[in-house]
Amino acid sequence: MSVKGKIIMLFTCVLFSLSCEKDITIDLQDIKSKIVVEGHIEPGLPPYIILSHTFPYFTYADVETLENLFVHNAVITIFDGSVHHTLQEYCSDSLPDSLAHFGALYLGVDIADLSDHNFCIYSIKADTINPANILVGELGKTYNLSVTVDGVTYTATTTLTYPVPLDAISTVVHPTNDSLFHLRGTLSDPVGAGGYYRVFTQRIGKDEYLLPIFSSIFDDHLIDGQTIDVLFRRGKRMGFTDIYTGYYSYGDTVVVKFCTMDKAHYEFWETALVEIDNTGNPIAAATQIATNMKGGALGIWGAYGAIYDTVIVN
Amino acid sequence: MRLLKPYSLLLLMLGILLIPNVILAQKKYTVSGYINEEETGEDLISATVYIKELLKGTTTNPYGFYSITVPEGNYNLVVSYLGFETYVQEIELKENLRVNVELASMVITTEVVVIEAERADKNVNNSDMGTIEMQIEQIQVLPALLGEVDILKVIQMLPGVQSAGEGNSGFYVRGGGPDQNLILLDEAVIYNVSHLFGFFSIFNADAVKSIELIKGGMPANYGGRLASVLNVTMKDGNNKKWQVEGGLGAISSKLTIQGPIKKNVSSFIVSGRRTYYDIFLPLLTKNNEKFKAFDGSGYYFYDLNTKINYKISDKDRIFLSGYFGRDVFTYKQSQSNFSVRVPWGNATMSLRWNHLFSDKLFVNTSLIFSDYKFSLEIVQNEFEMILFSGIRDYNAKLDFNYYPVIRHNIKFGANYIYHVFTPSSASASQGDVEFDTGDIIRQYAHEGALYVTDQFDWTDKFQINAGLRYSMFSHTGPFKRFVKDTQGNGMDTIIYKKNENIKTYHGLEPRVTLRYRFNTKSSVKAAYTLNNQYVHMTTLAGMSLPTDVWIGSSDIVKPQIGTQYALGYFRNFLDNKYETSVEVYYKTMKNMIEYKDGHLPGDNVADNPDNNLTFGDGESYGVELFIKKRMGDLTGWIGYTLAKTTRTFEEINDGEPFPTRYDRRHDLAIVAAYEIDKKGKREVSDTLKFFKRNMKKWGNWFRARDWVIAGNFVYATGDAITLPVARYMFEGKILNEYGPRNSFRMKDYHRADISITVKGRKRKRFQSDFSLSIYNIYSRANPYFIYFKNEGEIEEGTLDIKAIQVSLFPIMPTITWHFKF
Repeated sequence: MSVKGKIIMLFTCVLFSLSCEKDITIDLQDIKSKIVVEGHIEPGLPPYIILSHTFPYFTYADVETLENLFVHNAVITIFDGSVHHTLQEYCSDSLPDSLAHFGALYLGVDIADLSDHNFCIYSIKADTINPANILVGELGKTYNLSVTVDGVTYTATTTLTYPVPLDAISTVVHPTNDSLFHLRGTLSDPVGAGGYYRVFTQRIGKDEYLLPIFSSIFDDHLIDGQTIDVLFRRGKRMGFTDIYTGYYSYGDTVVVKFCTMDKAHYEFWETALVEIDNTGNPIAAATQIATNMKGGALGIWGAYGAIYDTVIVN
Repeated sequence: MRLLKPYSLLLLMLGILLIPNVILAQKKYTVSGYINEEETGEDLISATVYIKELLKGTTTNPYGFYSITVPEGNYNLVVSYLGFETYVQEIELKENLRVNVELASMVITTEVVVIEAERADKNVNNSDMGTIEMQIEQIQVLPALLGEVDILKVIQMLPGVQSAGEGNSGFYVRGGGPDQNLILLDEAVIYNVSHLFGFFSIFNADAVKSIELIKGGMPANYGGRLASVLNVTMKDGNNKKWQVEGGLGAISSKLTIQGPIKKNVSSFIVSGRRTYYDIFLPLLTKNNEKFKAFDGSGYYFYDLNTKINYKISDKDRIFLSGYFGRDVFTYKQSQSNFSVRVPWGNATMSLRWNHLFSDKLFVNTSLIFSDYKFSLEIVQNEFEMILFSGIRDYNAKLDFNYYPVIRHNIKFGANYIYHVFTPSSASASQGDVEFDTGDIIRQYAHEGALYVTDQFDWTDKFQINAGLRYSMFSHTGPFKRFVKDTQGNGMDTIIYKKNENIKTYHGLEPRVTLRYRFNTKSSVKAAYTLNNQYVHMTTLAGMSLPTDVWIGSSDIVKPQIGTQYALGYFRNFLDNKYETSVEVYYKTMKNMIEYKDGHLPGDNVADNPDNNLTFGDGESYGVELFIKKRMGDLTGWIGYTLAKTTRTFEEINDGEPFPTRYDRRHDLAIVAAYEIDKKGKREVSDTLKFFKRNMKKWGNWFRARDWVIAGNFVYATGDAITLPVARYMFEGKILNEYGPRNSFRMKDYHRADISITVKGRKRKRFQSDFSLSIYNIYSRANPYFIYFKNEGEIEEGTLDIKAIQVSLFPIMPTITWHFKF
């Protein structure tokens, strides 16, 4: 939470002591649903796009609601500077194993249960004849996305920024419980442009996929060119809170995915995380989540300059 | 904007000054002087002074000075002021006369003397539009939230003025922005008027003498803001005798000491106020689970007003006044070594010198210092961060009042301000590591203005108040401009040297008001004004906080330009006991500022705050009805406004016009105060036989005192707010999509308050008053904000959303005690 956010929270506490609350019914005007793009690409991996649409605010939502959000039969192409690659839609019945964890994260279910649910995602077409033609992320390249749904085209551009490897990853033990740890990354931020970071971790054998840490983004505008320590507090899967939330345990093998990204991609996460933080905070201003999509869609088409490390917590 | 050289404007001013002298034919003499209050020696501002035989006159200026020039002869000079005995003096005018008058306050509420009634029609008779004056005594008996008398909350009940929400002292005038009000305390600009996040204003009612609000037809001697002028004058200090007054309230205690340094020559006033929330809080949090959330937090604010004045001679007088106030919020969490300290506040100092060049030419020279500071200090373990912002002004003013003949009242003058803006800046460190937060990039600017205005009785029926103001603003170095591309990526950095001109704006601002009087009871007025505003406040749409930052115009930020057209009909009834008016207005505002959508104001490291702004226009129109009863046992007013205010920004709301948060279609206020005098009291006490029989003592006590019962009712259309309309999934998280800006209306606001003030018997010298103030008597749950609560988990199929309306103050009675000796 931003500093100002903290002040607002403190102020909110003061107000609440005097205030009273009541439930009300709000009649929101009908709003046309919008297309939402969740698309990423990283070095050496093919791109993927989850295409969905928004749903009315007061809808009672469960997994089934989410299963009905996917937008089918869209024409999606990615231009890498020389070739237009057309993506293909995969749904649960034909989903390659390599894409399964996106569905599990999206719907909040275990990978093993995914076949019971409907999940759709767009990714590259398999090309067994000429595997070299398959699009995978390359450092420094710019990718133009075009999504056409019912005759309307939405576009966005992202650049795969160069990753910055961490100097070291160490552990920080909980002050009173010596089996709980945070991780600490030591980062030497390159001088000058760039400097937008996001961190994911995965405990092997405990997490099915990578999860963003708490406060998963930061930038270098205060630390440009310096060497600093960044605390990694373990993020949680939606709906799975326990007393160990925020901590890694003794003996955990942890994969750390440390990413750089371009400014538009960072601004999306910055505003999205503020909006998530603000949920339930009554007096925070409405934050319009940034997007790099042109044409009226929401979400982000963003590349991650990702680099992976593995550490054992001890 | 065409360039008019300042010197040609000066020539124009001189030309205007010379005209009346040329038309002089008959032998004329001047009667002039000061009007003061007999008991305290305070100057009376806007007192009416006129020649009975000619039915012509003037009003006193902000220092109580008047000057009337008429042909030789014998006259009756009449001086009147509401709540004071009318003074009449025969004068034989065959030479220039000095007549200083001390008015005695009215002891008994009598029918107004006939001759006064003829001139009590100020609102019909003068050409001021949208101007309302108030004396502090009128305000002090009205109900107040937590018993804390607040002049800004009374201002909000006038037509055309919108409040910034429940309990908030912020105000908006005729659809203007919060930065478009010029708020002056003894001429010093106050940049942030609120204490306690807006719940109270910085004006300590005990130190205030009078208030004037100009919401339309702003005369040319004021400028720099589009919407209004709120002119607050501090008391000068009693120059007859020592006086101590104070009070104990629910929020704060206050003490005022005033008295003569040298009787009738020099006096002073010192007035202080402090809250005690922080003193009682530890007692609350220790024993009460409900208040646990406040553990470790502390808050207080205080104000100090001081003023000294000295009459050097009959022609010279100096005033030195100052204000200093701070809010301090602290929070400490010892387990996590986390602490926050947030101090903010204003400091002002005004040095003024009145000089009479002649009986017809009055000049005031002012040197003014004004400062607003905000800072936020956060410490967590080894990490330390300070965020700060502010604005500081050095201001010099020269104001001439020239009264050549009775038909002309000319003002001209010059104003220069040196601004220093400190945008949100940060310094941070962690142990030994100093974070690079860059240089603090302050913004330096010169603002200047020349003006001339003449209130001219063209014929008996027709009065013109015409003025012209020339204003300029220049942003100068040192400055560092971070040039950004359209995506906001840094492209280049331009460094300007000290005093290097970066951008200059200037413009002419014509101001005209016309009055046509049908008779002594009714008139019609029309006004046209054009104003330029060179300083701006950046604020997040949510609410006004002390973190709001002032910035100056720059190569990116253009001056705001406002035009206003107003038309009004004024009519008084029953010997001016009732004043009524209907005013319509239409306003346009250009180059208003807002943060870009999705921008989160930060610390401006390697950035300029204005890089994140977007610009647009505003439009506002409405009609205001006002009925005021100004004398008698029952006084008060009814004000009603029907209005509409929109903004249009290319980059906000897809370029579609949207209402402002405080766009109130209907806004109604009824304010009444009833003074129970001897006769009325007898009637009341007779009806209270019960008390008479059973509580004789009580009855006697009741009869021996003066009572004032006051009440008010307000009704306003609900605030326009932005709400989420849709949700979407992203990386397994639910995100919200907001609907069109301010497209949702909260429920209407209405509330009634009542107060009873029992005035102590004036025996000996000690007088003590009690007042009981009940806020929100029918405990209406007015919406303060709406928020949403997520319940359950989507994976479990239990996710549900509830909209929750939060209301702030239920019925709240408070007792305050006020003493004076």
